[in-house]
Amino acid sequence: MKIDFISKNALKRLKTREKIDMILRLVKNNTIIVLEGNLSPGEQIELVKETMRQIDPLSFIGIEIIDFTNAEKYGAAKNTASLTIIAPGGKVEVIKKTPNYLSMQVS
Amino acid sequence: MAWLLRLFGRKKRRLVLGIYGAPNVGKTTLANRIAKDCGVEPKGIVSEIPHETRIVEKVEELSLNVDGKVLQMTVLDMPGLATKINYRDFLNYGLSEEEAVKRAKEAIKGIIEAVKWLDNVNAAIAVIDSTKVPYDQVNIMLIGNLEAKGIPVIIAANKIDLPEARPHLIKEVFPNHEVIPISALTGQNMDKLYEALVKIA
Repeated sequence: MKIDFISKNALKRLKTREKIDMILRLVKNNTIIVLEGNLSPGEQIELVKETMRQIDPLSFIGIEIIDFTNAEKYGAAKNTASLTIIAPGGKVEVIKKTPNYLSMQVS
Repeated sequence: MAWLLRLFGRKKRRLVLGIYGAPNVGKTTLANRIAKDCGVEPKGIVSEIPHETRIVEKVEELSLNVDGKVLQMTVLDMPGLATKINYRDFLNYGLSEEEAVKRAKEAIKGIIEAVKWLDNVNAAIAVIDSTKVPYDQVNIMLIGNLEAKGIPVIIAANKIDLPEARPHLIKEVFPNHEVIPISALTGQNMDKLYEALVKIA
């Protein structure tokens, strides 16, 4: 499985639709994506909607989204460093997640 | 006009209340509990198989007296939100392959429908299973979207009747929201949930 890291600068240039298309194209190609920063709540929900539209029971079951933000409380981290990991559904399992530590198993 | 409002109290709006959350957190049990407390026969089917609710179940014209204030609402029991649907998961519950694929397809439609309803509710309860760690991205995404749309949301930390429940963890993760530990199954703390709903009506 391939892992792609995408910088905040690269994301900034893309519109929501372009981000979603890129994410789903990569994930369906068996790639784990690590985004610098977060998708907005609106972008995340659009990503989920589009994912649902593209699910094919036999070839694509969806995605995993893991938000890793260095903050102990949701909503308190607007300006802190964060990563968003998006992976093919069922291919990563979060073993441990705390505000300071994320452990995942890739299958 | 303002003094009249102060004298008689602000008229409470009818809530179009979406019950949201991940699959198997107790959304239908909660919707049934609210219906029952309003004197309406509960109709939602509860099952241990995920994605039992695959269409939005609407219960209209509900009315409840909460400490002298009338809470009027339409309750929408939403299909569970998820980022993936694997039909093979349903095979573990004894479904045939055909049944599992059909359930998966219906669950997908249900998720899209639930997301679309975010534009039509005027209040929400985000149900979180307090026996699990609350870092599930579905919760964060859901609450973030409700916030962004300006929809008031109450977090119901459900299943506190179970010994492994840790509702305080949910309060720690969402300190800016009202978190009410409840058991939709036993009815524990439902009075507190109704009081919170009256406040946002």
